Amino acid sequence: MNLYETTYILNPQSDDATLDRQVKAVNDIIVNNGGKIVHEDRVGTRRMAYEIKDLAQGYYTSTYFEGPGQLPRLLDRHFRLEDQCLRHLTILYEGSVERLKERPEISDVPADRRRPGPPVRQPAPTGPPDADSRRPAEPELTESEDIDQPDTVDSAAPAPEAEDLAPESETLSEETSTDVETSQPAAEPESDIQSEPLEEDEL
Amino acid sequence: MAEYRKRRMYGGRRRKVCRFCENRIDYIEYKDERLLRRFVTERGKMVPRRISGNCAIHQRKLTRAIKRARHLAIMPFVSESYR
Repeated sequence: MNLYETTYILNPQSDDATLDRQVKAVNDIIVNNGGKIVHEDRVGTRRMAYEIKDLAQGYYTSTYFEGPGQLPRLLDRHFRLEDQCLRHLTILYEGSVERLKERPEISDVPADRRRPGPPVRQPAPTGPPDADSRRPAEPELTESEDIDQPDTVDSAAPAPEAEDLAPESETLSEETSTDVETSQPAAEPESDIQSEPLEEDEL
Repeated sequence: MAEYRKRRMYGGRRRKVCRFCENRIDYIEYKDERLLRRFVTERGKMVPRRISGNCAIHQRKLTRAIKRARHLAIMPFVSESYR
């Protein structure tokens, strides 16, 4: 069994029922051929970088699944025959499954107008006090929880509220920091990277 | 003295460090358009390693991610303004 990711673009001009049916058809192929769906991410309608079949927008769906090696070929065949499918790509998924499941809320958002870059990412850099909050940040958080609790016991009235608030904000910052890991690398360097390629282009 | 030699070695500039190594990213997501945009010129061409400062491993992964993104119309082959 391998872990695959298949992403495909459907014609967004079809109505919702048709889109649902087409997505279900793909999922059925996976399930009926010994595969197991791990995660489905309906990105929804978004603008494409170039027109395909005279369409400027596409309906994006990503499905992560485990399955035997012949499954990608079956999917490929299906996508080729399905003329409402503008593009498709099936790859061996090398990212972490945990990270997919950490963000289940993504697929709960009403899919229609969702953009790939979730707005959650913006507050992240300012959120955690130390900029490079990677994995080692987590034990620190639990420590601070431990420290907080005795304090709240001592001071009577306003304490419970603070206690309620604190864990929430912490989980938030944890979530955002995991998000940042993917988006961060070029966060600072933007200026020098983008200015240099420009010179190249002008040559 | 060591400082002087260092400067001479890199032509008086600070040596660039691979951003993916720095942030310990081992999988480059091809759907992350905002990330990929930074490693592409305005025209849509990939930025060479010598300019972006990426290490060979990550440049290869990045290249693959960009090509996948182009196939799925997440990134342009050629930017609209240059067509």
